[in-house]
Amino acid sequence: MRLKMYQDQDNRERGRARIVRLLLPALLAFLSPAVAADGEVVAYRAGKIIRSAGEAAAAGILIVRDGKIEDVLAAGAKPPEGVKVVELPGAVVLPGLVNPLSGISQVNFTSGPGRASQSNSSPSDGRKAVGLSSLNLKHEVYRRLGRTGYTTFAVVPNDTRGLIAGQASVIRPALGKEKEPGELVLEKSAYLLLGFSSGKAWYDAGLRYLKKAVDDILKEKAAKKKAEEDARKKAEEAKKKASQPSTGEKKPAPAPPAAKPAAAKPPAKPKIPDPLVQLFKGEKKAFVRVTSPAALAHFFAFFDKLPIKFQFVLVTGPQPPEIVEMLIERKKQITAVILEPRMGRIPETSIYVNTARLFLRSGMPVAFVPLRDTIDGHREIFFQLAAMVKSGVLPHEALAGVTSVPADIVGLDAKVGSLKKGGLANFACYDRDPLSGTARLLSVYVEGRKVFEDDPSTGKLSGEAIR
Amino acid sequence: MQMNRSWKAAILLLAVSFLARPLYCEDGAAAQRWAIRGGKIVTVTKGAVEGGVLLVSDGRIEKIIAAPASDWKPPKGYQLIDASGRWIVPGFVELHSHIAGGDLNDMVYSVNPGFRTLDNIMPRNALLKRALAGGVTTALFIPGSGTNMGGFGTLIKTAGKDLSEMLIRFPGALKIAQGGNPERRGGDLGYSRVGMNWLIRNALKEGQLYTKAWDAWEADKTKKKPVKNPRLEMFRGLFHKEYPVVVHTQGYHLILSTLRILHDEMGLWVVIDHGTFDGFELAPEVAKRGIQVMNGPREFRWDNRRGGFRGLAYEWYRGGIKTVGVNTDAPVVPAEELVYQAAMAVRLGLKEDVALAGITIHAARALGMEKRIGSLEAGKDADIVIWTGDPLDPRQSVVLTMVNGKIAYDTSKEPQRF
Repeated sequence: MRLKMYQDQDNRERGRARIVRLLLPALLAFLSPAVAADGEVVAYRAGKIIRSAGEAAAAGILIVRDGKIEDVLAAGAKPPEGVKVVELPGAVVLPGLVNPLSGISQVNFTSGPGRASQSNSSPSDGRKAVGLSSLNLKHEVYRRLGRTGYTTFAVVPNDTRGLIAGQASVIRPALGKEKEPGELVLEKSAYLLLGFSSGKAWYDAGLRYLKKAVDDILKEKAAKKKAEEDARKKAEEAKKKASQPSTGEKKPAPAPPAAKPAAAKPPAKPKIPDPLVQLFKGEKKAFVRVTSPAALAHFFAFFDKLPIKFQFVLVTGPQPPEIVEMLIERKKQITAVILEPRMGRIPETSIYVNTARLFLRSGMPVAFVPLRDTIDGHREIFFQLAAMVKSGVLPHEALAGVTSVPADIVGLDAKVGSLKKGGLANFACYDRDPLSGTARLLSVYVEGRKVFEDDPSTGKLSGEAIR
Repeated sequence: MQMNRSWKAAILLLAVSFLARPLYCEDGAAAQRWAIRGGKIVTVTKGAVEGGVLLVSDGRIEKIIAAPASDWKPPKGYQLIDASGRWIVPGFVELHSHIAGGDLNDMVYSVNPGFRTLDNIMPRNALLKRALAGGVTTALFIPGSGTNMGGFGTLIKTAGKDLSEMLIRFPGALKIAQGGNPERRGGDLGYSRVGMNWLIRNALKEGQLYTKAWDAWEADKTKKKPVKNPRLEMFRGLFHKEYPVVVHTQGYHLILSTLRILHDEMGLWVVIDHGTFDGFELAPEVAKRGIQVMNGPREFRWDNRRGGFRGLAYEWYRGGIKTVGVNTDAPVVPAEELVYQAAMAVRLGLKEDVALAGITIHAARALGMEKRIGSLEAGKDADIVIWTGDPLDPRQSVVLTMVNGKIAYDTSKEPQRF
């Protein structure tokens, strides 16, 4: 499943990210010769592989080359000759989990505040801020990311609480050898994060920023139209003149002035496009964080006034059923919902509502983010998802909510979120059904490299990134 | 003809009233006797019984019939509860709970041995109802950790129409907090551990002297009768080991002083009621003294030296506390999530049966109540919880909770609370 709104991408930025991505394996291979040698193919044989949420677990063999999945073979198949075979007996292998919205990369990260779903403080404008810019590789948090079972994080910039919070970068856990934060990056600008609270200041600021972007587009369109109109009129006049009978001999046209040497002038820097304008043009994805019902009302009040609409992923909290119904009616605008896996309560009652279930039953994709945006919060995700399953979310929906759906909404479903040919070899191994609540994370692989291993028989932990 | 019709109506009415009868009635003599049939009876102390029958009468477990005959029928006067496909588990015992009433931290004085939670208990508390929905049937309702000695807690069942029905024991335990929360950050006495330890020792010494004076008079009533001091009265039971002191103590440094002051010096019956951070490093010392540890609400710790997460309950177990349990410090972690704490301990290394025992029989033993609660055995209180499956699996939920042989929560009659 690929959402329509994501088809058009900022090609220039993608190109840059692609260069980084192409250079990355080579750089890593150079820096870490102890690990899988360049071009080495490894076959991971496991009793249960869940290739993608919704598919039944089946025994199989993952063939990994250069950090990518080259093939997925059935259990009975023979791995190619000369291939190193790694046995993962008793393991349930899942695609590495994907967090579509995290503040875990922040420079001042201590115990984990700063989650983007926290209350918005002021309607500031951070459209130029990019998640990548707040990465600080010296912080050990990046090396710990992998031990959670998560292998992909869309990180938002340092200030995540403005009206325009900034652009999210998609990263992988650090392997401990990186020199530059850019080495972690899968996508520099995956989406623009907007946030709204209730109140006049937000309403006014929302109108001001968003309306301005729309006006810019409309002005640009009007100017283009006018230019076309002028050109058309000119052409008509010229045609008219040409059709009139000539009165005398035509003077020869004066010779054009000699062209100035072009090299003298340095080439102009390419203008960085305004991400908000890109958003309205459908060239940039948007996540909109609105938590309270009041803020939702304020947001839609002015959103409906905008002459150009955009589609977005809604980041919200547990809502009462009538609010969910209102949001479901806006299915065309809201392409997916990001929720924490917790129950909502109808005010002044003890009736608990599983908001995620309501969205899912209406056919809207739901991605789940951990209750706490910390390393242990991420480790606990299946525990929280199990509680969601207890109250009506189906197991495959819970799994999709941390794998394929977040991969899809950040636009990286070809690479992460499932185990398929050509995708990154990111996977996590558990000792039993991860939704059982007592499942233990055995090992985690990022781009074919083991970043975490927990041997229950010895209690010994190991892995490249965790020494 | 007329007569005939009225007879018909009467018969119809009778039939309807019979059909409309609930599966069982909540009150009256009949409600005191139950036959719970089918499912998996997890006794905790004596293994599991598949497809057996558990008989309950007069608020207690009468017996467990392991292999009933195929045509077995409940004895006369017993209401049948069909639990086929379910798990029948003892009610959980929570050793660290604050939910029964609130208003638990009066922080003018650092030590408050006269305080008691008994008067705060609200039987209709909504949080207690949620605890029932999570399978918790016994809770030690203790004062908070705002001061070094918060007062005496009350051991209660989580259901009952009034306090007399809920009460198991008062005092349930003394609450002492040795560090962290009770630190007087304003710079008062008790700002540091040296001050706090003095405050605790001083209060206990006073209680010890008071107890000794009364003991001497009890032994020889010709002596001068000591003056009764209500503030110190409850120390007498404490020093006679009629109830334990549950200690808010965590980390190596605090547990050292717990062992030295409270156990070795004062000779008290001690239960460690947090035990988190690196406290487990002292496990052999704690085990040597036979002290019970109820770890929580933190269940894991990042270990910088080894570079990994460590499951704290598991580490206590490895260190020698074979009876380790977990707690929630409800409402810090909601009371109904006690079993989640146990599941987390399992995920981090503890065995399933140890984790389950930790919140049932071992917790009961820590309070000296193992003869009444904590397992499914004949003669024990009928605190029985029927689950949809393994309670350690968060996808399972409680179907029915019985406390003292009375149904306190039943999803067939009310919405599922948790």
